[in-house]
Amino acid sequence: MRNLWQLLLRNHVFLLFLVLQVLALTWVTRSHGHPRGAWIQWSLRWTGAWNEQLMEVARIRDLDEANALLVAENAALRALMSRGSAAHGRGGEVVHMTLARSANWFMVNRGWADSVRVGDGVVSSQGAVGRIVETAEHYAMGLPLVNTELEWSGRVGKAGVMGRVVWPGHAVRAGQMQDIPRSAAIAVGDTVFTTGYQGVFPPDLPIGTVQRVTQNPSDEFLTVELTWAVDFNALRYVELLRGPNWPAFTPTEAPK
Amino acid sequence: MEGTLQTALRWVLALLAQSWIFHHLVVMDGWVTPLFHLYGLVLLPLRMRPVTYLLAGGLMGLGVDLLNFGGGLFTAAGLVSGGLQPLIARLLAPREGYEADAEVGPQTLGWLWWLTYTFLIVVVHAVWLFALEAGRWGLVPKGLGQAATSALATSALIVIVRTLFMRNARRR
Repeated sequence: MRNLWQLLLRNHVFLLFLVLQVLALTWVTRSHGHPRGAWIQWSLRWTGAWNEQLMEVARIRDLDEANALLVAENAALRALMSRGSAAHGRGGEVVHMTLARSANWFMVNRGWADSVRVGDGVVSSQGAVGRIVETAEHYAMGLPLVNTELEWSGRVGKAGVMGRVVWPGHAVRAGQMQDIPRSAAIAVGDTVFTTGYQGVFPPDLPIGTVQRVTQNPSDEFLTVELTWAVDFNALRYVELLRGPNWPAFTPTEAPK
Repeated sequence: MEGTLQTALRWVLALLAQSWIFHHLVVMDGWVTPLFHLYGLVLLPLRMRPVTYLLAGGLMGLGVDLLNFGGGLFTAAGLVSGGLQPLIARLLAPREGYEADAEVGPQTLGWLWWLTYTFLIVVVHAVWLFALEAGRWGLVPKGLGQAATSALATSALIVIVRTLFMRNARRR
């Protein structure tokens, strides 16, 4: 017993390292995909205000006002359009976004005080952007299409074949559509649209454009390389959409 | 006492600078990710107890995680670099060991020692961070590439900032 105690004392730094590393790795495992936990509310509140201040530094006043008006107009027009659901939109601004990680996220300057709720879809004038996963009073966190932990439902053309849309994690501009039957007629330049099945986006929003079609040697499916419709490097103004009649969204993880 | 206060202040400032400024300066799709908080760890005095390096690294990572939605990645990486820091210092120690008041930097231990010490701490941190962040085996090679380029950029940044502060101190 005394020897054991001495052994522990002699290696106390290493043992402490192991314990703390296991705790940290548990945190990493639990939060991969997007950060979770009660501290998110606190962090959104504090870092959101700071991120917005940083954005102010880069803001060109006139362009900003013009863009804000356009976003509001877009939101109003989209709400009026007949999409078979009561989707309604609110304009917002992306105040921070990561694109260097595999589990990327973004922050918008709208929160639950602006009626933003978890599960709301986020779109830009170019197409589908992502969905909201956490909300604080004035800020919300969302996951973009460029997140390797998520998959989305897409359709080639407005009446074409459907498949899973994922981000392989290599280049920010490049997405991928999987599980497309070999018999499907897909051409380079075709547009991939949302299906509306996940309840995040309304149907027929652009997701991307087909860049390359390859046959998987191991199965009967095609893999379609996409270029996202949205330029995530320049993403700033967005709309937050909610369709109360859409089915509840449950995220599914991409296969490892 | 003054030295301890200065070290603690530098540790806090490095954490805040990383969370509020350098965290936003990620360029080239993540191939250059500044990890400036390591400035506060690299410049910790050389003859502290190993457990202090470990806790300083872990707490630094925890701070970055909480302020930047790191989800534990920076804590894990901070623990690894903090845990290995005494070993790296011992590995690079001169034959007669470090002097009691040896300051971390090129002025007392030479440029080669300073550059190697900084780069090794940064690269250990970056490799663990990016490998964990990759999340799947297929993305690990890309993560290791990003770790290498980010470690080079961060080391250069730390060396430049340290040199600037040394010049200002000399002028005073």
